[in-house]
Amino acid sequence: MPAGELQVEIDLGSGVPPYEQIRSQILAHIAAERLVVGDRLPTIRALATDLGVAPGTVARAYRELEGAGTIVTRRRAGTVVADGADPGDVIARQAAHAFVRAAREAGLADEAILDVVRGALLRE
Amino acid sequence: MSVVALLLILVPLLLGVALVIAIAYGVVRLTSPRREGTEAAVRAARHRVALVHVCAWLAVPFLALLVVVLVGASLTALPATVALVPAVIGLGYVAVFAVGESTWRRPAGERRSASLTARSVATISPVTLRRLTWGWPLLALPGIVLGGVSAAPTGELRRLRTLPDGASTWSFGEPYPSWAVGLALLAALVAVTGASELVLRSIAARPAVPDVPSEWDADLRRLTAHRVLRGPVIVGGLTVAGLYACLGAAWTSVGMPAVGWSLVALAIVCAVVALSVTSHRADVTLGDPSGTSDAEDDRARR
Repeated sequence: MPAGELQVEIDLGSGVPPYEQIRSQILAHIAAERLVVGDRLPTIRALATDLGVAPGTVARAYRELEGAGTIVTRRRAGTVVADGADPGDVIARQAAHAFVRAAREAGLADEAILDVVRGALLRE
Repeated sequence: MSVVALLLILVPLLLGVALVIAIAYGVVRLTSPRREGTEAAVRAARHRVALVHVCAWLAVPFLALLVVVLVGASLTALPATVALVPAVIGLGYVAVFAVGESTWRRPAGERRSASLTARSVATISPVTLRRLTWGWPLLALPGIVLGGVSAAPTGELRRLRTLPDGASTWSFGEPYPSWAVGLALLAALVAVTGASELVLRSIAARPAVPDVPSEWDADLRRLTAHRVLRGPVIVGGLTVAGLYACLGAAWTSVGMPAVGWSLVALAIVCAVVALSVTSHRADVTLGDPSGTSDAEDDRARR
């Protein structure tokens, strides 16, 4: 596959689950504005076939992106980058996900995590 | 015709189709790339689509011969069996492509990549050929209704004519597409159209050729879709042409030449459209994915 072409790469040997690799790379494409609002993504089946993974793997990645409001699936248009998928929002969401994951791994409760965020907002 | 006689026709036919599929499957498996790398993958992909195309066309005379040998004697006993001719040839042709598309190698290895470019049946199919494939059954409908409504209970066209001396006489026109023949032909056309649509879906859904630009892979899909649709367009066009030719000849022979020749003219138009549209090459330039185009070689091969 030539450099510069919009693609996803997965490494089955890495510790990161394939669905997470797909999700984060699509997010990265949107954040870098290589994918913009209205751009169509491949169908779950087509992407799963090309990557040689189960359709459920791609479906989970798409489901999480849909849950975050980054992409939306419409009956006729298929899966497209959502209106609300502003590159700035995507970067913020990605950072928020990473922050929450790190905070939970550090043992903080959800309320404590919110307190940390509120404190940071007051200080900035 | 008894059930046993029908089975004696259908079983060898199905065995013939199964044999063609088995041969195509074996040949296609042989063309799977044995080495890694873009060049090997591209060469294997080219060989595969070319071989499947050749196998599909080789299947046509074989299937036609099989149908004529097995069904030829039964055509007068059960006229609806005439629908087996387009059905078997059309379905056999697209079945070879179905096998070819379903046997693409799936990605292997730990590191895999895929293009994020969306593709669908609409993006890979030639518009004119696809519309014509769907159009033939629709165009056949008025002829089938005309034949069914006007046919005598015994299946032929019958008309009471008054001679110059005032006497009346019956004129007959046959072979004539009665309801039995017309509906069987319609079923055959719909089956071939449906099967070609399924094959188009499998072309869009097959794994991408590894390590090539997505545009090259999409062109390969477009080329295959064009080749697939050629068969149903020719089969459908000639079937509809045959239907209207039979109608026209029958109406002419019962003393209604204006109606008859109009129907014959429509038959000729259908045949000419089918043959001329399918004689056009695919509007695809399948160059070298590394950049140096060998489009001329490819055109020559097509």
